[in-house]
Amino acid sequence: MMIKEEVTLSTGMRGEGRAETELPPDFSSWFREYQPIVFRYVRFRLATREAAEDVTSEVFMKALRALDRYDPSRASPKTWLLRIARNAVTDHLRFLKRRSSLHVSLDRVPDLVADVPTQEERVLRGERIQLLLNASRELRSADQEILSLRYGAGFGNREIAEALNISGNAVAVRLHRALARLKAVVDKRGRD
Amino acid sequence: MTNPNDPHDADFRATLPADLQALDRELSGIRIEERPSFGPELKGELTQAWRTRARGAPMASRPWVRTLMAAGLAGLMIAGVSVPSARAAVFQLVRTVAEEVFPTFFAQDAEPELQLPEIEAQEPAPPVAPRPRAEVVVSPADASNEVVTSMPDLPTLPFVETTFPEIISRQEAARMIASYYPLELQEAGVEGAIKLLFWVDTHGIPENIQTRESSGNQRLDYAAMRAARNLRFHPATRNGVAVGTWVEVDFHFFALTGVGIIGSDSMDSVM
Repeated sequence: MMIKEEVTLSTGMRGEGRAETELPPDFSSWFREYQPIVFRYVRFRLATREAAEDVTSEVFMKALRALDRYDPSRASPKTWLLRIARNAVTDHLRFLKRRSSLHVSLDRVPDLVADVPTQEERVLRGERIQLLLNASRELRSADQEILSLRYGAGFGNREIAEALNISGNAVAVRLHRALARLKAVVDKRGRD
Repeated sequence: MTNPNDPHDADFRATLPADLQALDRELSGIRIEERPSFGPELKGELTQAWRTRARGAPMASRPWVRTLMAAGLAGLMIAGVSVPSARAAVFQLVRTVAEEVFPTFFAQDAEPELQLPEIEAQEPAPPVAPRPRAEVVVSPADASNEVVTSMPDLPTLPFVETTFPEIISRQEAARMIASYYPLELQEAGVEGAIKLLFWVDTHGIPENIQTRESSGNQRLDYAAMRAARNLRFHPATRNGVAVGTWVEVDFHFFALTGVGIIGSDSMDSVM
């Protein structure tokens, strides 16, 4: 009996009996569609790629465990996953605050500058990204969150409004203020 | 990265002063490059978690079921002893159980058990149901044909030269595994050992990675599984021909050094 069960699982991995052993189809398509978005959002908020991978894994594990409780009438899957991601990032940052610095060192940003063609430009761009990200971590949490949704997850204002459950105008105002505060921090750091 | 078709975006950017527009463009230009294998690895972990959940806890592991089964068995034994015709069968059953539990008591009249090395299939076979370790694991020493030739009544098997999978570079492997040790676990002093079982194919690439013994920390287990996918082996060979085989590998994560290493003496092949 035991051996029979093992064989069933094994063949499931080879493509037969898949329904029993593979992810639920809905979840699988959400994963395909939204995992890169969740990762980018998380990566924008966290200092290292390793931490971003860990937190992204945690997000989807939590989502999988809570799948039965997901209510499509209350939020789209994307909004739901982003909500889990926001909570996971908050928990992670709270943990790190007790443990260590949140600052990004230059050797931790190569995965963020992959589109710059020459080595010299990569270095300069890396330094600039380091400055921007470290500056953003001096902002209050709500500012960091809205900037991460826009520049990390790549959301438009309408999607940010849905994710934060606020109006489009409120998004524009908050973004404007967050950018202004970020610029003030960046300028101050540039002067120091 | 922002959505250019979103009217809010066009309106929004236009409302920003020039210096903030420049900052907006600069931030939008940050490209986040995901490790290519991260998505598939995570999907594998999710699938395994789902599979475990789908299987659920076996009925026998529930305490009330175990109690009920024990009570039922005791009842059957008492009934059996009280019926003369069934008494001999019950005593035979008790003896069989006792032989399993206290084998040394019965060792002198027990016949030597023949152990033959298992012959592995070319394709990954499903892992066998848990059995005593000595029956499942064939160490290199056990795999020689000494056991076979000591049994005169059996036909002599042809000599088979077998090699077992070897990690190509243990130093590189240790460095690679260390890179998967989550920083916050290191900082929190969370350590652990994980035993993984996986198939090493004829190209030396791990497949079908499964947790054999958990560290007790899910994130450490996942770190080990991710690292295992990137291990590379010299494949096992049989008479000089590369063959796939199951291997068990221990992963150790030590917080003091921040280095995750493979126990150098703990790699067993399960063929």
